[in-house]
Amino acid sequence: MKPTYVLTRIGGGLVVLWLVSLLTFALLQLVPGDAAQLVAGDNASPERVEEIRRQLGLDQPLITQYLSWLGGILHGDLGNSVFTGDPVTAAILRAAPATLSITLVALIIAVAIGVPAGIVAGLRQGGWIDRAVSLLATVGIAMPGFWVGMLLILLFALTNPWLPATGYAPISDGIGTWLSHIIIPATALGLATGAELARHARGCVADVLERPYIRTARARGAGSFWLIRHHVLRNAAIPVVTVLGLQAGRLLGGSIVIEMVCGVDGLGTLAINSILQRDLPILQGYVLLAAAVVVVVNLVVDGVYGWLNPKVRTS
Amino acid sequence: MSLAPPPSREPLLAVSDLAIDLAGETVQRGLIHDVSFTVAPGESVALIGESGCGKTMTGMAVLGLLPRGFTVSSGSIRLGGRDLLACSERELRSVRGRSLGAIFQEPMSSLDPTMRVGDQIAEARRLHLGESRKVARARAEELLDRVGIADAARRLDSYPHELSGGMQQRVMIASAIACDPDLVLADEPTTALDVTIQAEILELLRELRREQGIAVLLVTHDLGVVADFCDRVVVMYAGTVVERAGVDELFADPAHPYTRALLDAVPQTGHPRTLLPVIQGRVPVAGRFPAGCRFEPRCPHGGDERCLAPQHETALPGARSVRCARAAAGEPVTRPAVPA
Ligand SMILES: Nc1ncnc2c1ncn2[C@@H]1O[C@H](COP(=O)(O)OP(=O)(O)OP(=O)(O)O)[C@@H](O)[C@H]1O
Ligand code: SF4
Ligand SMILES: [Mg+2]
Repeated sequence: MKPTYVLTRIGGGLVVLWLVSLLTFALLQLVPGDAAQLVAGDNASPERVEEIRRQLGLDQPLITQYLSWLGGILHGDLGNSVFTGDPVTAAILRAAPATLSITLVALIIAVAIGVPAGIVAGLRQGGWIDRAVSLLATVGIAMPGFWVGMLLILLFALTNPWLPATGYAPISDGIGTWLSHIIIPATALGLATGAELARHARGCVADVLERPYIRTARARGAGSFWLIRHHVLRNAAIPVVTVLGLQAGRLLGGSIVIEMVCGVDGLGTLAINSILQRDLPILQGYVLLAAAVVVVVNLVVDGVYGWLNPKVRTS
Repeated sequence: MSLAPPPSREPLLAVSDLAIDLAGETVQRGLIHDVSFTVAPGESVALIGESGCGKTMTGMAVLGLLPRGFTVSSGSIRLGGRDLLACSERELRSVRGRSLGAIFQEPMSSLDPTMRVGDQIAEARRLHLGESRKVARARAEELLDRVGIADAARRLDSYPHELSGGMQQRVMIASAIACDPDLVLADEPTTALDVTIQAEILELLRELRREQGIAVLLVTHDLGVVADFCDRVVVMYAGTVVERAGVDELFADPAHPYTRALLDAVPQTGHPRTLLPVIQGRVPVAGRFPAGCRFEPRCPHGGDERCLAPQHETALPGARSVRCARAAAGEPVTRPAVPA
């Protein structure tokens, strides 16, 4: 891969992170009225408001505030929760495994179902598989994740007590226990993405099949299996991977609702509570982390994209 | 220098009375109609005609790679004595790339952008001769060298986008001849290239013919190329063959009014890139062919009673044929008016 490609991608990711840090910082400045008053609540004493103002650093000049805040972030210090006084980092680290587990498993489910279904549909355009996939994809996209979540809980946790209805168990409790807690929220979250991926993969395969180089390969005597293995999959994978990157960010956002439905104490729940409790440092930490995850995922996607696409890989 | 083989030889490729229909919302019958021609071993036959007259479609039928919806409704295509239309898909696969190679117009889009050119050249050998990737790549290196690419060992690992258009077309040719085919179908192999590169590619094809005795069915718009490269000419118009003749006879004395118009349209200097604007009117849209002679609306002799009936191929002296009642009767034909 060209070093310039790698460097521009990483540089781009850093710029995005920096912009997000600016926006996140501006959050404190942009809340209508006095941020310290807002955080403290309407009934707080003036002393309490001043204390919070100091705690948030709002009494300092803007540039000093930003630099010390940024410096803190670079050292892993995101400030303290206004509500509990705990470090933001600790709160986030506590909540992150549940959310990352759910989104990761959701992504795996989406890819494992959506991509093969889309490929087969694209290869069998107009056939019954194609029609079934397209119907299921439409249903999958139309069903809201929280509704699917409730349905799954009803079916597999309440009516048939096979799976726990709520909560999260860390992976250290054993893979089986962990998975039994994860599987319902992850499925609810991943279904729409899987449907989206199926549609996209179908389109990409159909598009590749129309390309002249496919005709060339057939003119060399390639049969369907050879054609798919050596020409169709590799070319169709390039645009599919791109969409995968976009979906990863969407999954992270979608997990907020799913966590509420499935009673999981994850980042989404943390974020919602921080909004309800006006705990701005926690909210800032969540936004920064979400941005960092999306940037990293996109870097990985860019890497895979470059690896798949010789036009990027070679000079 | 003529490369024409002795006329007595069995044809390598024999297309007889080929007809192709297009299925769909409105079935179009006779999109290709009554197309017959032969290619002898080692011979080069040109397929010429305006855009949309069915040259590519005919070539695809020979390859057994007609696009979805198109079906051969009658006729036969024999290659080396084998009836390709009676072949199963599996048997056809064993012919494609083995005894029948193909080169297309756009080398860039005709090569897989994600596959090294060495692997694309080796592909046919792996498919047909069961060679391992390693063995086939060694052969691919020889082939790259053969088609005039310098530093073949290094170029094996290039991707198509790293090569110029001329080099890409050389790669296409190398992949088409990888299994020493008897016949190469070349559909406008030089149209997308610069003029100087065009000459180089034609020179390469000429060499391959001379040294390996490969027959070439060449689809082209360029009459200069026809005169230069081909032994015989098949002139197509609106999905049908209107005239067949040896190159010299055709240029000296075109029998069909359409052929006459094509030849008159060649400027004395410069290279005609397309035959489209030179004859008044347009090729009729497929499915809306005239009931009689398909050229009648544009023919200066149109309106004649004989012209309103479907035309049949008539043999002329000297292994020629023409599809025109007037020309068959030996009456003089003139070329149609050229737009001012
Ligand atoms: N995929 C397709 N679907 C429908 N009609 C098609 C398709 N491809 C070609 N045709 C039609 O079939 C007829 C023959 O086309 P063909 O491509 O064989 O012409 P051609 O002689 O090769 O022209 P050109 O010189 O432009 O390459 C034309 O009327 C064209 O419009
Ligand atoms: S048959 Fe008639 S209309 Fe057709 S080409 Fe001959 S003279 Fe012209
Ligand atoms: Mg064509």
